Amino acid sequence: MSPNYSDASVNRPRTHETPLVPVPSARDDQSDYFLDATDMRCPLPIIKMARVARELTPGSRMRVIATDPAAEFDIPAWARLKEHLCSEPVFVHTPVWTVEFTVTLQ
Amino acid sequence: MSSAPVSSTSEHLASTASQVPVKQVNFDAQGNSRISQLGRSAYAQALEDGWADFRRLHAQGRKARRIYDASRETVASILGVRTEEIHFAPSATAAFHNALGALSLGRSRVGNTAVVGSTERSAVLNAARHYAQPSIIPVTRSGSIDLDQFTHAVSVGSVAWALSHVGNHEVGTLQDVEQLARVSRASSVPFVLDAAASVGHIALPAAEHWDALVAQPSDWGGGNGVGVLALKARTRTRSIWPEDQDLWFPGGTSLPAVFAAAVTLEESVRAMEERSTLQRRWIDEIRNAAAQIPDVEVVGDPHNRLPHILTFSCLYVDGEALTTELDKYGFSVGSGSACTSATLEPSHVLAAMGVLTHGNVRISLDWDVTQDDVDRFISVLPRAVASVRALMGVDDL
Repeated sequence: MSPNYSDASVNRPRTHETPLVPVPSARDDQSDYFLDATDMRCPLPIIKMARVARELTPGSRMRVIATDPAAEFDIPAWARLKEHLCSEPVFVHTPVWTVEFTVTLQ
Repeated sequence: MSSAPVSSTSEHLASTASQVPVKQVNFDAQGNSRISQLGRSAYAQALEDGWADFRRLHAQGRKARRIYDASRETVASILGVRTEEIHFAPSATAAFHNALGALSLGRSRVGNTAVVGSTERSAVLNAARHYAQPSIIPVTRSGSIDLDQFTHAVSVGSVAWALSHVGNHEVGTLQDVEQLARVSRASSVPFVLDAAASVGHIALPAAEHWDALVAQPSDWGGGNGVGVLALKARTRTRSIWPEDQDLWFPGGTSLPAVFAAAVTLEESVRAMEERSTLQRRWIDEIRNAAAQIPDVEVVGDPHNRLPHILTFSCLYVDGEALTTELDKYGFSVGSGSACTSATLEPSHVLAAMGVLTHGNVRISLDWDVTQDDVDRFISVLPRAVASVRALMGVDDL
C-alpha cells in the first residue's frame, strides 16, 4: 500500500513496468526533425511542435522527446486534432522520466 | 489601556460585511455549490435547536434527535432506502474512504480486487489503491466505461467490490449504471454508485440496482462539512476503524450541516426538472460557442451527459492563464490542466479519455446561474481565449 501517488499516475507506467530504452541520438534515426522538448512545461512542447510542423512538408517525420507529465497525453491529442499520424509512446528513463513520439505530418 | 488584539478572522468578518456584493458567477459548482437561502436558514435553525448531543435523554438532546432523525428520513426517502441505511459523513471523501475500506475488509475472503473506471474521482481511485488492488477499466474518447471489459473484470472471481459514477464529475458523461449494476450482481459483486455529481441534477437509478451510494451535499447547495453514505443493510462490511458510538463515522458529523443537507436535497429535487431543462439548454449553447473558437476541443458526450457540466480544451493555451482571464470577467471556472493542479499533473479523467489536457476549462453551472450570465459568458469566451493566445504569442498558429 503506497499512499503517495498522484492522479495521472493512474495511467503512468510504474518504473518497474517500463522497459528501459536508450534514447537514440538525433543522428541515427530516420526522422526529418528532432525536437528536444525536455524541461519544457506544457503547453510549450505542443507550441514548438506546431511551429516546426508549419515548416515541414507533408510526409515528414518529427521525433519529439518531452518530460512534462501532460506531454504523454497532449502530443497524441494534438496530432489527432491536426490529423497527423502519431506513433505509440516510448517511455525512457534518462534518468528523468521521458516520453518519446514520432509524428508523421499529413 | 490596551485594546484586545484583533484576530484575522474577525478582520475578515468586518471587511466582508462592508463590501458591496458583486456577482461572481459560479461556473465551478461541481462539489462547491453556493449554499441556498433555505440551506442557510436550516443551518441557523439547527445551530439554535440542535447544539446538544442527540444521544442524551434531556429535552435539548431530544430536540437534536428530532432534527437528526428528520434529516435521515428525508434523505432516505429521496434515495429510496430505509432510514437506518443512511449515514452522514464529514465529507463525501470520508464517505468514500470508509465505505470502500469497510467493503474491502468485509469481502477479503472473496478477493482483494476493486473494479473501477479510469475516470472515477481521485477519492475513489485513491481508496481502491489503498484498500484493494484496483482493476482499472478504460473509457472511450467520450468517457463511457468499456462495458465488455467491466463485465469481464467483475466475473473473474476475486473481486471485493465494483464502483461507477452515474455522471462524470469533470466531463459530465453518463454511464450505463443499470447495466454495470446488472453484470456486477450477476457475479455477486457489491456495486457502489458514485452519485456525488448527480444527485439533485438527474433522476437516479432505482435503489434495487446498487448496494452502496455516496452523495455530496455541497454539490446541490447544501453547504460543506457533510457527505452522505447510503449502505444497504444486507451488504457485508467490516469496519477499518475503532469502535465508536457513531458506527460509520467516529466522532459524528455536524448536525447543522446534516440538517441543511437534508433540507436542500428536498429543495433541489423539487426544482430539478425545471432547472435541469434550462441548464441542459445553456450547456448546449456554451458547447456550440466553444466549438466555434478555432482549435478548441469540446470533450465528453454531447447528449448523454449531466445537464450542468461541460469541459473543453484550447490548443496552445495555458489553463491557468485562461481561468485567470475568465475570472477577471467575473466567471469562476475549473480546469483539469496540469498547471492549475497542486500536483502539476494533468487531470487523470482527460488523460484516460485521450483528449487534450492543456488549456482546459471545466464548467459546472450553479443553481443560481441565469440566462444573462450564460449570454455574457458566450460573448466574453472568444475574447478571453484570443487575448490569452495573443499574450502567449501563439495567435499565429
